[in-house]
Amino acid sequence: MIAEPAFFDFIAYTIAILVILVSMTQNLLYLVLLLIAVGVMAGRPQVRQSRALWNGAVDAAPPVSVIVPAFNEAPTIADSLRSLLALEYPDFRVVVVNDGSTDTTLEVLIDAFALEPAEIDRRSPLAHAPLRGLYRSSRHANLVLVDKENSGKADALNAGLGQVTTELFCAVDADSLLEADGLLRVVQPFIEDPERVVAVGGTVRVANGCGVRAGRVRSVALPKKLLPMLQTVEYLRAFMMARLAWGRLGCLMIVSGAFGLFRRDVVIELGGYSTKTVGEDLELVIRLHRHAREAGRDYRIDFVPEPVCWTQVPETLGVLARQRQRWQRGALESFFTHKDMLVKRRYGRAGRLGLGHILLLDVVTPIIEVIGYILLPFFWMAGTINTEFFLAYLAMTFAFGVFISVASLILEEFERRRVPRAVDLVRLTVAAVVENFGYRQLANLWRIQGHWHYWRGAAHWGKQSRTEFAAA
Amino acid sequence: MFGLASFDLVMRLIWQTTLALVAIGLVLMSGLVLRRLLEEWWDARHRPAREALRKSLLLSLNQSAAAPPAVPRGLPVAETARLVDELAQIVRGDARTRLAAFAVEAGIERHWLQRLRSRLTAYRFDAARCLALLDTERSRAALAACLEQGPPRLKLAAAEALAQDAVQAAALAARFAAEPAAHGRHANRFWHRIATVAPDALVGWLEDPNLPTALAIRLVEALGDAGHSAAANRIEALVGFHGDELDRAALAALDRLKHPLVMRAARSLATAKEPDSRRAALAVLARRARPRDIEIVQALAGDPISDIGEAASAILARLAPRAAPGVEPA
Repeated sequence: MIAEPAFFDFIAYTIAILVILVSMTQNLLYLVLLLIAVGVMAGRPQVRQSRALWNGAVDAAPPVSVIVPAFNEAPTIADSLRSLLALEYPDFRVVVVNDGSTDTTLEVLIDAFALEPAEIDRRSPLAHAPLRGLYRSSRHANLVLVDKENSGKADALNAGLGQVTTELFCAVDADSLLEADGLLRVVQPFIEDPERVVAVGGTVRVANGCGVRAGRVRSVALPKKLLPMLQTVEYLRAFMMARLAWGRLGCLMIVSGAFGLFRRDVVIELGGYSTKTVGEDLELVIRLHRHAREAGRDYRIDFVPEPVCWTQVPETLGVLARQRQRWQRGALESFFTHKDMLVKRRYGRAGRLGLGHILLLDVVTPIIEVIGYILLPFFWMAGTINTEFFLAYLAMTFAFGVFISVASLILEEFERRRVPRAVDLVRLTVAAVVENFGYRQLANLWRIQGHWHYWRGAAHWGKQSRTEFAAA
Repeated sequence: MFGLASFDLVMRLIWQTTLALVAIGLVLMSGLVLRRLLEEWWDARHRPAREALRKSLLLSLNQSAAAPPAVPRGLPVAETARLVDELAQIVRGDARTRLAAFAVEAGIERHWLQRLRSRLTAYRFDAARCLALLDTERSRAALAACLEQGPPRLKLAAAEALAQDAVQAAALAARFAAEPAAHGRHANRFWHRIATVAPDALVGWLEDPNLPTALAIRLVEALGDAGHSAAANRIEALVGFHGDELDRAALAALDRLKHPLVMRAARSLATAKEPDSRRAALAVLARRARPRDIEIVQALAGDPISDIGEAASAILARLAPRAAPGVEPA
């Protein structure tokens, strides 16, 4: 019974109830997303093999430009570009933007692809930092290199957009490898619904541990190190469950910067990528929603689970911490830039659900969770909350995460089956359990640091480091 | 102590339900791991035989005089069927005919026909797709039976498999044209197949004033995708009479056909009431407009919807320097 609680007890109750309510809301949201993702997967037609896909789409596939912003990517850029140039797609070109790299990225590119200086077309629909040079390849007619002064990924993408003439463009990270039929798969919504679709995202997978040869993932394997392994589970959960479900609900708020296809005219109409945020991919998609809703346009931003883009994830705590802090800062910048969408009716689901989940999962939850880690064990030990309450808190904070991660793995195994062997499934399941005891808490601490950077007004990307892909 | 009795009950329910969910998840995952282990064992057992068959089969498919190989002893028919389905995706012409003969000889037709009677729609759908290779009497009869019953997706897959020549395709098209289930987007593959095999059957329908708009959209898209340029006149004639969605589909189809009539359609849509139609016209004009189109682009530059007006102004700025003297840009 609560009998005339002292001031401390009252504060403790309030905090405990807030923590558990936020956890419950978050977990209920995950559960709903999971159920929607299961429904979407069950209702999808069978995934077509590459050949059938090619035969069906070769005449209808519109030309696509692949824009690859690169900053200090010397170790991986040649492999990434080879994978792009080997794409199975009827008509595409690759525009690499060297964003003033201070390493040997430019030299590596010039040597590896026989690039020669060409005349710069300075007419660009978008503002960006000055161009230093334009190079064309004598070996690959569909390859262009734009060399520009350093000013960030968003600005590099805008500079790349200036060199693009195709209706569609695909933004790809320089440390990523696309599967040969990835572009053909991700373009399908544009072929099926060309009027409404403005952006499509594809699945991104962890490349650490995979064997790579000539820019292609030749042997799929799980990372050997724990940190990339835990991120593999995170990526599976994010792409197999969350994005699929948000896409179905019509409020997918992010198309990963590592792999996304967009309508060029719409993005240019919006003024391109925002250089005021480090989360330019999230911000652009929110702006696409805003713009379409304001114009009363019938539109779709879709997610296709089949295309696979492989990316190198951080292998050290320091690099991972910086990445997560940056993501958090980007989420906060995007959220607070467009916070009015949350309450205005005309933004519909995209505002209420889309921005609402960013508010819950990115703005509120990290803070509340960390408060819970610190205070609830203390409240329990002090006898302020009883064991039932504490167990419910532990279940919500730790065990439910295990369920969601394992459920995402089950979904993956039922539908995609890209995990190579039974033993890998076991390893991933163990990682899905372990992730919730230590890693998740650490990730929340990094997000709090991201909060701190945001409120302090820090505006830099942080030091990046790249490792070469493992040879097959 | 925080612990109202009813509150405790809720808390207990939360942690016990969560643990139950975790347990269910882990048990299910264990089952999937077990399934994988069995598959790996099965694969390791049959892989050498399957790979040997793949090599010899490919060799025989590429040489018209070569006799089809014998299926290795002990290789299950499901494995052989999987191999044949893989190869069916990559072979064409005579090689495809030889592969079909091998499939019948090896008893794969029977296997696929059994799967076509499965309770699982996914299996039936897959079997219908695979049977497209064979074109035997039995397979045709079984697929024809599927046309009578089963979910619309299966019926469409069976119809797609049966549409082997122009006569069959035209008959199937006539049959499905009357079914509203074949008017949706999920029927795109079927209509694409018909447009590839018997495009003329579809072109005539475009003149029918009673043709449902949803179906007309499917036909226009399919003919555009199939590259049937002879349909361009009929497609263009639809613009302006059957609604905005069909207008836009017609414009997109003409654009894909790279037909000169696309500009006439674009000019027509540029004055449409629906903003999305004007946007579609603008997208075409952005790529294809010539100085002679300056008037229509000028009109769009004054569009009350800002993004349309701005995009048209950008096109205008590009066109203006090339326009004839005396024509003033907006």
